[in-house]
This record gives sequence, structure tokens and C-alpha cells, in this order.
Amino acid sequence: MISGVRFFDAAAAGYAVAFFALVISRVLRKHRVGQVGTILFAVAFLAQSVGLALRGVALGAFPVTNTYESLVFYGWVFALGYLVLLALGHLSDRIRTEIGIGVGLMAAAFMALASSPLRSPDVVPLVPALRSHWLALHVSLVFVGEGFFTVAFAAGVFYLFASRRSRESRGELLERLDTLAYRAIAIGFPFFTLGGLFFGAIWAKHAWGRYWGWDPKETFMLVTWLVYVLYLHLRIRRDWRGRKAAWIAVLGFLLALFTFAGVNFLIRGLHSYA
Amino acid sequence: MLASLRLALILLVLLTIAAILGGVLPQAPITPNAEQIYRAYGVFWHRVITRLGLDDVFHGPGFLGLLGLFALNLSLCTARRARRSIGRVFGRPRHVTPLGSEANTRRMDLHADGDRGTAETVVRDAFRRHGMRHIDRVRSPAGSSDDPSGDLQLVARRWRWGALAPDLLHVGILVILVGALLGVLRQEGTFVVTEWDKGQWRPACSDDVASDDCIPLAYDLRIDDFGAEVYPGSSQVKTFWADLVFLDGDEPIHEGRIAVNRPLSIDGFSFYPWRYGDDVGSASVRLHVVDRARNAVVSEVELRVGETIVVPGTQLWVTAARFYQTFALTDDGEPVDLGAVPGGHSAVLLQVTGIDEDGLPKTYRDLALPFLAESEVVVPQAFLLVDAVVPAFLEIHYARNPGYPVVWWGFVMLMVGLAGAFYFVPSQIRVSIESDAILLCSEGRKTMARTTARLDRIEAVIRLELGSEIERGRTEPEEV
Repeated sequence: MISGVRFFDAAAAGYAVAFFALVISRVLRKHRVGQVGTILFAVAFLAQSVGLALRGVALGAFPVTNTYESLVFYGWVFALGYLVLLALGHLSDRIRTEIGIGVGLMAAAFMALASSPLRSPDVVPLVPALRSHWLALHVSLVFVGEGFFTVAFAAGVFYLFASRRSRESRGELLERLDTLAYRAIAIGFPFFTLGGLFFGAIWAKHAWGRYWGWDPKETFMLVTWLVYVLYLHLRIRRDWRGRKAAWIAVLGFLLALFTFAGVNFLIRGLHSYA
Repeated sequence: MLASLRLALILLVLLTIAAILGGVLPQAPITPNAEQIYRAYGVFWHRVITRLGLDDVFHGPGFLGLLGLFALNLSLCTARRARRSIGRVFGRPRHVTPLGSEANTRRMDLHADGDRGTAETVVRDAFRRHGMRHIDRVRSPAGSSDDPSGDLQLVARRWRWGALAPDLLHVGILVILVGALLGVLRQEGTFVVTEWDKGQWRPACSDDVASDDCIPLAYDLRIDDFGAEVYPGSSQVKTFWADLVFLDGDEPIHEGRIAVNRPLSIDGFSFYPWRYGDDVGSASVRLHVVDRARNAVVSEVELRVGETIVVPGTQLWVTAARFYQTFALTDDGEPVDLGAVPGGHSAVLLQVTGIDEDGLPKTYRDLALPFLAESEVVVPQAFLLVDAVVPAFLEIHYARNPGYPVVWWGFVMLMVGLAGAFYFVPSQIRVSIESDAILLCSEGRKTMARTTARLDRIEAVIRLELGSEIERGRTEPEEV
């Protein structure tokens, strides 16, 4: 039984086209093309949302029960993070385009990876341990947090690229990218903590009788959390900005990515379901 | 030094590195074959890893020492911070001069005959309209009720309790660490029941049989029933459950069902089902004893794996050594179990002891299959596997950890602190009403764009309300 896959394919195509439109807009300075790219991005997001809803109905559970669904949901969440930041209206046209390029590319890449033959898109019945309302709370909040971390990562990467050239001519852009990365982490961090550590601990207590067991997934979630704790302390208390802060934002995201995918594929543990 | 941020950052980095090592390297308490894995690396690496404690990073003195130092650092840092935060929340703000030192100070020049009383009313009203209801009135040291010509400052604060949020967050982490420390007092055990045990009295572990996996309970326990629910049209297990009855002597004191994700708590212990499956080691088999010469069934026996019986009418002792759900032979001719494979043949490995011609006991191994196969063993009797029942088993864990409630409260404090620190950031706007001007400035974090925006709006309201009182135009703050 396959559900929502057509919508996911459409979303992958939509994100890819949006990415190219935003790149063209950036390179040729065509504002209209950029607007079209943003609209396409939103349409792709809508298709992905419908696909996820259909899959959730077919599954009878929150659709994050295997790697395929997790990849799709991951892409959905950081697309959501980008759209939320757009809706808040704090982004200039240029940053909107540049972050849109990064997020669009990653969303398309995740959807493409999810659609690859490596991962089965079949709806598979849940293993007993995953049949819990904590699944939705735990996983979705972690992904919400990671969605914002992705935006921070994209801002950090652009910061690192942009700051290699003259800082004077790009001062305002760099300042905005730096602030965007900080805001995204400040928004995402409480979600990540609540979903990953707190709700994860409660669920582990219900399912396994202990709240913490140094399972590889738990350990790397803690590592990721510690890196963002470092970022926030250095930023707030030591006023670390610029390239140093951008590097930590990038490192934090790479660790989050490893926690999500790397641990699943490379290290066996209690969280290795699919 | 011990309370410094620098030490906190160094410890965070070290803890992160230690956690990465523990996450990547197989850990003895988590990976059962960690020892074998390290031995496979060779003697040198095995020695290095075990000597450095890398096979159990999280319980080693290095990691625990770092954690202890971190807790000490956090305690001292929080105690120092909390004093300042409490002062900011409960203390009255002090008069600040000059106000123009803040980069975002705005100045509105008043006419010479401007009414300061009206100005104060307008400013208070502007504060309230923008959600800043906590307003303190501060006079300059020179100014007093007798000398009203002194500077008057109105300090409006929003989310002032938010100043305590980082401290609450830190205390939350400390409480979690305390809860984790209390975890050393935890008690946990496990037991396995098979279908044969259903409804039978199952004494809880007593002091006589207590072991690492068995903690004496204050009551007896009976498993009335257990089983698994499968998805319709599939053999995949949806959930598994057990009905428990807790007994004080013969008297049931509590009963309830446990299932995956639905543990049962009693007397501080939580009981939860851990594993469910087929217990091949407890299988019961029915065998026909066949007289090879006549090719006829002469008797029937039934026994469980591990059980020994005497075959009726013979001098044979038969032990069911092992049951194979689906039997196959390796290239070396050794039997292996492929698990439950549809269409496969089951088998039972028998150990048969008989008396030979010399009157001496002789033991041989025989494999009973659902059909008579050629056998190298030349004995009058052959064994035919007629039927086998593989019982289900359920492994139940139980645990009591006095650290749980402490950890949960720690998490609650951590989350409230996080929410406060990031979403309810305290902001403060100070307005100085002087004889010839009104000055506004925001105080707090440099990145408080929202406070600056609020400052803009409050300034606009004051300009609108005091339109006739103030000079036109906006004056840039003075450089100090």
C-alpha cells in the first residue's frame, strides 16, 4: 500500500523548480522570477502537506514511522520554518532569495532521497513500541526544532560564503544573516529540547522503563543539544557573532543530521526501527 | 574560577567530546558483544580501549568527574547570577544619568512653559497602552518631593520575571543531575513467563533467589494471561500484553493489564512488557515410536525440550535436546534452525540412551522429523515427529527509580526557563522627564528589536499626545 507518494513527487519537483527560479532571480537580479520561485515553493509545501496528511490517515498514526516518512517530514518542517520566517516579514528580498535557494535545494534533496529506490515508500504497519501518542509529540517537535536549525544552517553557510569577500560592502547582509541564524536557533532550541529530551525521556520511561539509557540516538541528540547550548552561551554571553557563530551553527546542524540519519544507518540501537 | 563561564564552556566541549566517543564506540552496558568487538581489534587496541575506559565511557570516572565539575560550576554560577536577577525583578530601579549614553535614546524638547505633570500622565498612558504596566517612578538624588525641579524618570518593565528564566533553566539542569544521581538507588529486575506459566502462582523473587535480574518484591505476582495482537491479514505483532495480579498471600491486592507503552505502577515499581515471541527452548513435542522392522507405530510419547522420559515398553530413555522450527543442515552436516518459515519442516534433536547387547548403557543422537528418514543409527526403534507446540513467552521488566520525579521536575523547570529565556525576554524602557525635554531609551539586550519597535511606538504616542507641548522635529541623542 503506497500513500501520498504522488504528492511527494510533485513536491520534490516543485522544490527543484523553485530552487532554480530563485537561483535565476539571484544571478540575473530578476525580482519577478524570485517571486514566482517563492510561490512555487509554497505550492510544493502544500502538496507535501497533503501527501503527509494522506499518509497519516492511511497509517493511522503520525507519519514519521520509518526513514522514508522521516525524510519527507524533515523536508516539510524546514520548508515550514522558512515559510514562517517569510510570514514574519523580517527578511529582506535578498536574504529571502538566498535562504530560499538553500532551503529549496535541501527540501528537494531530501524529497529526492526519500523517493530514491534505497527507501521503500510502502506504508508499513507500526512496530509495537511506536504505537504511542508520544510518537507524534516526540518526533514532530524534534523535527520542528531541526527545521529551524536548518534555516540557521543555510544562513550560516551563506554567511561564510558572503563574508569571504569584502565585509564592508556586505555589512548589512552579513548582520541580517547572523541575526537570522541566531533567531532560528533561539526559536528551534526550546522545541528541540522539549520534543527530543523531555518528551523522549517520558516516552522511554513508558516503553523501556528508563528515561535515559545512552542509546546512540539519545547520546547524539545530547551532543547536538550541547553544541547549541554552546552556541547560545557564546552568542548571548560572549557576543560571538560572525564567522565563529556561523561555524557553530553549521556544526550543530551537521550533528543534528547525523543524529537523524547517520545513527540510523551506521550505529544500531533501540531507535533503529527502519 | 569555578563559577566562570570560561570553565563552563570548556566543560561543555569536553562533555560533548566524551559523549561523541561514547556514542560511536560500542559500550559494554548497551552492546552485549562489545568485549568481543574490541578483542577483534587486537590485543593492543583492546588494552588501550579498556584501560582508558572507552568501553564504558558514561559510567567511567572521567565522564562522571566532568559531570560533577560541571554541576559545581553551574551551581556557583547560578548562585551568583540569581542574586543579580532577583535584584532586577524585586528591586526598585535606580536613577540613571546621563540617559543619552544609550545608542537608541530619543529626545523631545519641551517648550519652556511645558507642564511636567501632563507629560508624566501621557508617558504613563503610553506605557500602559503598549503592555508595560509595571512602572516605577524614580527621582534623581537631588530631586525630592520638596524639590520637584529634579529629574523624574519613569521606568517601565515588561516580562520582568523573565530575568529569572536563565536561573530557573540552570536550576532545572541541576535538578535533573540530582535526579540522575538518585538513579544509583534504582532497583530493576526482569522475569520471563511462558504459556505454560499462565494462571499459575508465580512467586516473586525472594531473598533466596535474588540476583542482579531479580529484585525481591513485597508481594506475589501471578500472570493470568498474556498474548499478542497482530495486524489484520498479517503476522506482524501490533502490540503485546499481560494481565497481572498482585497478591498478598492469597488475597489479590491489585490487578491490571500491561501492554507496550502502557506500564503498570504499584508500590513505586513500574511493570512493563519488554519482549514477546516464540520460546523454542520450551517447545512441547509429540513423537511416534516406530518399529523399523515392522514399519509400525508401537507407542506415542510427549515431552518438552529438556525433559527425559522412558519410552513405554522399551528400555530407552529419550531426552528432547533441541527443537528446530524449520530445520536445515549446514555444509558441515550440522542442524540449524531457520526460525518460523512457512512450508519448512520442523525437527527435534533427541538424545536416546538404551542398553546394548553387553548390557551397557549406550547413548546416541537422533533427529526426529515429520517423516521417516534414512538413518545411520541402526536401532530397532525410530522416532517420528507428529506434532509440536511452541509456547509464546513474554519478558517482563520491572523497575523502581527514586530519581524519576526529581528528573521530571527538573525538566519542567528547564522548559519553563527556556521558554522564559527565549520567548519572555524582559525589556525595560526608561523615560526621563526633565525641565526642558523628555528623553526615552530602551535598556536590555542589544538584539531586542521588538523593544526598539515598542520604543518607536511609545515615542509616537507621546509626540501625538503632547503635540502642543514639544518642539517639532527629532533631536539626535547627544554623544557622551
